[in-house]
Amino acid sequence: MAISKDEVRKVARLARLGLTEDELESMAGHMESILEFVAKLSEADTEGVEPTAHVLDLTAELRPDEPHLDGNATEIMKSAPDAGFGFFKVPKVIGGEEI
Amino acid sequence: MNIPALAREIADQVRSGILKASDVTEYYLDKTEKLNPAINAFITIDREGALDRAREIDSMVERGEDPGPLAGVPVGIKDNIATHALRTTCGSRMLEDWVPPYDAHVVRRLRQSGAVIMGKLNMDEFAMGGSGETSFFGPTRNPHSLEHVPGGSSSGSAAAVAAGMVPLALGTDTGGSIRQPAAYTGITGMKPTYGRVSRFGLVAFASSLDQIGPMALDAQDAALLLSVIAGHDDYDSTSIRDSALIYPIDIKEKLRIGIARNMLDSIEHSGVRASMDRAISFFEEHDYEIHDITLPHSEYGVAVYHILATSEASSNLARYDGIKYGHRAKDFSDLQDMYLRTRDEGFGMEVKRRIMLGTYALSAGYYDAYYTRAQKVRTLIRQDFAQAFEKVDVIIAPMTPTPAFRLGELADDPISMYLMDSFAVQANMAGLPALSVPAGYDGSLPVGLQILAPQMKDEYALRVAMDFQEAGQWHHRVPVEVLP
Amino acid sequence: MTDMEKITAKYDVVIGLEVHIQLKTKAKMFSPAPYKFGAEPNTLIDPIVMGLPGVLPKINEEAVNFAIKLALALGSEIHEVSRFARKHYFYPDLPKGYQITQYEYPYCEGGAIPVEYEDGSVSMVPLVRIHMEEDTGKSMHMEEGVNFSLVDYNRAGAPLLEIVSQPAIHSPQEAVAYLKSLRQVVRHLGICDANMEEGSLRCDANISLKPVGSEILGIRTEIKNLNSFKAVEQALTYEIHRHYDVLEAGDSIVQATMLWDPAAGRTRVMRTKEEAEDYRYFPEPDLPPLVIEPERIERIRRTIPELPHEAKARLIKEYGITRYDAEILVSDALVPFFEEVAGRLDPAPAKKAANWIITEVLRELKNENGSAEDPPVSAEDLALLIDLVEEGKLTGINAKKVFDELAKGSTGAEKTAERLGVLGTVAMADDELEAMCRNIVQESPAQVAKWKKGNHKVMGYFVGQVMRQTKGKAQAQKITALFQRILDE
Repeated sequence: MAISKDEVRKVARLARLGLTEDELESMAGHMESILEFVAKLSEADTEGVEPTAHVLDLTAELRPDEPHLDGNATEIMKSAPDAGFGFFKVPKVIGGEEI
Repeated sequence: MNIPALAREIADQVRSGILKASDVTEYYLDKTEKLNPAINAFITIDREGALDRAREIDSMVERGEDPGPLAGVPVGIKDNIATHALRTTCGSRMLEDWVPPYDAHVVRRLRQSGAVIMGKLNMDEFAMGGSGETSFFGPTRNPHSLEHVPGGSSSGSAAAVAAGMVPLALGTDTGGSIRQPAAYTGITGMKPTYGRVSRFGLVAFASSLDQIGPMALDAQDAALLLSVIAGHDDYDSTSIRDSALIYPIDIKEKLRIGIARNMLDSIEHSGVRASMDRAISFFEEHDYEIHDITLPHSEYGVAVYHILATSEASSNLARYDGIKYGHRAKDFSDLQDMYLRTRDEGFGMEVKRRIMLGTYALSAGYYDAYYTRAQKVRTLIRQDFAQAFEKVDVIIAPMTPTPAFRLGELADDPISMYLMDSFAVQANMAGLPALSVPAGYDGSLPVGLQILAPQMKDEYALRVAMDFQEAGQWHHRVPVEVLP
Repeated sequence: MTDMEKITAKYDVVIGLEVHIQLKTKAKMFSPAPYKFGAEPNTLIDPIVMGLPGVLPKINEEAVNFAIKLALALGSEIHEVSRFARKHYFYPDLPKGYQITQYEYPYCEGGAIPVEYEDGSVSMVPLVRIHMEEDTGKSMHMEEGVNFSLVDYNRAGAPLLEIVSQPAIHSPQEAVAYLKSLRQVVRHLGICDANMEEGSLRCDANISLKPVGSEILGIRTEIKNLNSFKAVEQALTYEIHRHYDVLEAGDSIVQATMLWDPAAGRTRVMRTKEEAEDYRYFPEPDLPPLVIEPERIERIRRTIPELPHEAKARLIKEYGITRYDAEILVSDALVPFFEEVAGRLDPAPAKKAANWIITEVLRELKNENGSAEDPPVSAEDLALLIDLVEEGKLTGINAKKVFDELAKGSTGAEKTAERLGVLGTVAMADDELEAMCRNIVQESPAQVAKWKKGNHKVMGYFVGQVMRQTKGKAQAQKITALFQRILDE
């Protein structure tokens, strides 16, 4: 299972990890050995087997629609690395993602 | 003054007024402060908070109120469990200064049970590691040999209990992170049934596998702590209804034992093999009904675990972006650069490795080959257990292939490190309760026996552990490094 | 031939809409924190909304009920088992680095929006699916030269439904009609305010052109940032022309996500397909499957009101009101109130109830920011008021005074009228009234001259004189007729 440095670079970008060239190199080596290791999964016969997303046979419980605030908004804001005017401050956002 | 080592004895004596919680707390704080420089089990010691709480408990007793089943018992909490107003770092630079504005569900329960929270325990960064060496706050050392690792990721929890710094600790187990360090440090550690203990407030590593559990000197104390933290929580959608655990464990029937033959046969280490043979003889001598069982897909366990855990981790750790809390890089050119640098600086290498692998496994084009396939093999592993538990009540298996290894020994060999979890990950795959109980020594290093039970039969594993620990009394051995 | 006709002669326009509606539950989708538009920034947040380390989501029951309501109203097939998934991308207003949404297993599929056109005709636009998800916070972009942005997480976690239409819309006007109809449906069901300015209804559009009659869809672009009906129409029109120009020049469309720039009146490329995010969806491990039991569906089915286009047709037929009146009653959720008032009327016709409601009641609601569920006057009082006018016991002008008193909290239409001393019209014999009018005409030569010159506005003066002399108790209609006769003699 070969994984190219460019592929690793792409994944690092996707994960927003700023890896140096050296780190990309060693990461590629690591990922390659892991992928070799997990390749044994293809030996298992999974024909017709359902994937397990949850080990419990539970269904989602629902929360009644009762509004409640813990009153710790100020405490939450205190953890912000940068804040001002009651907002969280971030480097300028350009374009971007909107739902 | 004679301060007991066991939690249940402390609680009994504090509740009945024989002992003062503040004396108990003072004693354990002193011991912790003395031992911690060498062992590095604690990241944060909350002396003031602990003493304040202890005095409150003393005045409750004076007023004739019952502080609860853990009255005055000092408890250490793994540092990936949120504690209101008490720094919670996850062993990471990313959360070096993070002070949660809320309590985890288990912490709330501890507070209500009269426990005294002593502080926060060291761990592999974000619970990723099996040696305690990936912590941003430095490695924890094994109280039985300072040159050896205590295991991980609940390294501080295991070392603290083994060294007698606290009688009880909370650990978390995603792929063996409670049981493997318990085995390496000669204590009892249990991963309960997935869903039996609320995960609300447990900083997620791999949500479908993570579970909080008790770490203690013996099975009774583990059961006591589990009885305090187990039970349904409205804030966790994966929490099981009617999942309280009654302490003390009251199971009269003789349980049938299955021996995971293929796992036992794979053991190469003579010390571990000897311990396992001795354990089987014990059960034979004590008239247990014993069956050999096989778990044919267990060989895939670590591979399945690694894909699922890293995938979920890559998702769970996406929230650390330097905006709402935690580390933010000082210098950056723009928003994207801020993300890249913050996450590069905030996470250690092992965490980055896992985020990378998980991101890769979930990315377009690879998802089915890795993630979906791993989920399918997970189903096969679960089916193996379901079949096995048709004829036995518990399964015994080795906990680890070897006793604790030396610090740095596997640092450059992640895969060998991952393989140390081969026996441990099985329980996480199937959501089963499983514990490690002391089963002997290889020289100065402890060896653990693993006991697994069907979902919601945590009591079975505890019951068998209580019987077994009487065989060797290994749980009473005090680690050489902390002998006065 | 207009440009558009030239284009549609050669190409079929194919539009699909993805609409997000924000559900007006009290708490958020997965947390008990409330959401309200316009609150102080970062005050409606809690650890769950912020995705703080350790928190877990739990599904809001009412959001599920609202989702079922919409599915039932639109005839969608509800799946008994649905699942949530995580959609990953990095953006400052997304607290967890992923959004919890439904992906492979949405709670419902199919159904259609009945789209009404101005002429009253209705066509069904089929849906692909509807799914539940959570909203993001909001980034405030600062002016040029400022190197930071501000983030408000109040909106984060608010419950959303995403309604995905099939590519079965064929013009910008149809797209707008679709949105207006959808807005009317969700308001009518009481599940969403559907206010585009406040963002409780948001729209993205996919558009492509294909040669007339061709079976194969063209390459599409997606347009985001459409936050008004005008923006939808203009952006789609712009994009149709742009596609046309590209295709006519023999080039091919680049699949891309576009942003609508309302100031410049054009779309801009936000990102191309190559730069598209890899969302890395996977099943949300913190939420077991959502099971919607048949009993729940049946319980909700019983609470579903008829759809707007059905309601309108019925109101027109049953009560003889105009399409215009029916439109307003339906879109402002005033149908139940109207029917209650109309049902009590005797002898006044239902038409009068419609008039009163769409003028006085609606004005009061708008002024006081009230809700249709809590009208300013009771149906009983309003019906009585209308009947008093109809029976000639109260004049129109005085009835409005009584109405205002009732809206201020006074109770009992008749009692209030009595208290104001306006009950009863002037019990004047017709000849007596005529004498009064003739007298006024005689004393107002200037106004009479204006009338003769064709200035009929002076009628107001004449009627006003009578009103003053009778303290407003005369019936305006009756004296207007009288004056007309006298002046035209």
